Amino acid sequence: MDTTVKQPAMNRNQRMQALTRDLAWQVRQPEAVFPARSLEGIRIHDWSALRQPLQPTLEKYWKLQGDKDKRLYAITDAFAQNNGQLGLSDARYANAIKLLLQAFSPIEYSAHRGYARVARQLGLTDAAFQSADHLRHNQLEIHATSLFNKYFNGMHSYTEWFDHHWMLSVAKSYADDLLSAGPFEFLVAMAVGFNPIISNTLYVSYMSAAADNGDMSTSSAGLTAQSDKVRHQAAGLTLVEFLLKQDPANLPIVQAWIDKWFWRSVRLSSLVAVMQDYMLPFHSHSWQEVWAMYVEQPLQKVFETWKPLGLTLPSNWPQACEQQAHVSHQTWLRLYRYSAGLPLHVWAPNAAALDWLSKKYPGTFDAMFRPHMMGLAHQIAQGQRPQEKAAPVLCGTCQLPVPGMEGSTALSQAKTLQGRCFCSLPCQHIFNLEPEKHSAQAAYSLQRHAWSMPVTQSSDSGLFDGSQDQHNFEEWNGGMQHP
Amino acid sequence: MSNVFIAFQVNEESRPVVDAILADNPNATAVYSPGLVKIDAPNSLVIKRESIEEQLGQRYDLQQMQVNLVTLSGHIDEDDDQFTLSWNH
Repeated sequence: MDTTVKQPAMNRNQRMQALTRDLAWQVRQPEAVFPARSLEGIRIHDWSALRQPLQPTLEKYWKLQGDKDKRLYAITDAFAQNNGQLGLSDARYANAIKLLLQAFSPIEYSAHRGYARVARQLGLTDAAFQSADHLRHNQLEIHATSLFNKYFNGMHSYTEWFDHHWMLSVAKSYADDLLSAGPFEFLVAMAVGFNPIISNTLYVSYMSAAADNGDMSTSSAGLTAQSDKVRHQAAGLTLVEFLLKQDPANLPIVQAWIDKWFWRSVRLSSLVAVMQDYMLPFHSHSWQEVWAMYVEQPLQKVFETWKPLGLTLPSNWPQACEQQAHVSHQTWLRLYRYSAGLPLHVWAPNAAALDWLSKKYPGTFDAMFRPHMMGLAHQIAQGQRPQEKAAPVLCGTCQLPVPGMEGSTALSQAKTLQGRCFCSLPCQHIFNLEPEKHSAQAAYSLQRHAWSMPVTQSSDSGLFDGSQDQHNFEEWNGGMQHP
Repeated sequence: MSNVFIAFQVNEESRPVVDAILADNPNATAVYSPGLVKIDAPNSLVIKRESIEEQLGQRYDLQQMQVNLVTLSGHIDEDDDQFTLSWNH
């Protein structure tokens, strides 16, 4: 009998290679099987050079994901059984959940579809995992917020609002732009746009603050979704480096995508900013702090390491960073103004909130925004309620309201321009790169002005003061108001 | 020199991981927010499987860390025994 020789155990990288890539078929005619690989002018010479950090084998993946969900559902079940919604800091907090469900959960679903498409188009298995992850996120969020839908308004028709309401155009146009992009653009968009700017803020800082406001359900759902996004983020950054190293021709293409998707993600993040600064009765970090900690500093470092590859910070970086002292306040004032037709409630920030905002935004808040916020309280005291139901003119690219373009005159002007009206130069630049694509979205947005009212019931809209949400929450808590 | 960071959900599963990181990285600092712990370290941070096993009293697979991982910043280098974050690329 031969002496058996013990084989040395494989290390992690060897195992990954043996169990995944070494099993892959040799594709003899990649141009025929993966025609979309050459769609965008990107050149790849050696796919095997692509590393995917944190990626588990399929067998390990299911176990990890199962562990995550077991842990999460124990928390959401206990929250439901214990009537956790009664322990919210205040019923105003529920409006942050509404915005999460209306704007961001559908983007998760779009990301799921996008990654599934990319997996097939590029022959990239890791994208298939990412597609499953994003479907998970969409479902987690729906599940976590479904509890609140039993008790609060403004959630029942979230898919309809996403497709038809002008307030959510910023999110829908972002999702549609992703889904209609080529496969490499999609991957770069997620890597340098959605993950660093939306995921790293909404699913980290905001979710921690949600826990502080008594919402263990959404908080836990968000944090566990983020455990997948960490993997995506690492994979995305590695992918960008891979593209740059494969061929010098890729550099200008990738840089242009970075400039575009960084900017589009910054514009979308205005919704996260307003959640962070205005919809958390128990305050946490300010949006400006979150931006510095989780976006500006990490990305600056990443781009520093990318310099040798020829990449630079997005051309609109200084303008983007400058906005962060103002964006949450501007967005709140806008939501307040149009609240009669929006599927969520608004209010005048109380004295404690104003003081917190002054402290967190020294100089700028008191000079530029405090008088306006105090004006809201004054209006409410006088019995005035927001009335405006006609939607504002929206930017032809990002679909956020264009400052200074309110009223019917502006609206008819905008119709003549056919959506070619922009909030900023970077948005105009993005539009001009692909005018046919963005024109279609802009034309669709112009139609939304007629749609926004029938989609919203009055109990979903307007002031929090005197709303069904406020009345119910007080009653359930024995008539006591939370501070 | 800039910070790398790694953040976890705060629960009984991540506690031994956090303890191991702080033991192995003397310059690391941990900051707690509701439900979240963020560990910052100058330039690099190492997580060792053996150290976690010491804290936990059980065998540990470094990939289990992903269950409670929230976010991180830094270039990743990983194998079966350790997970390193650094800006030395």
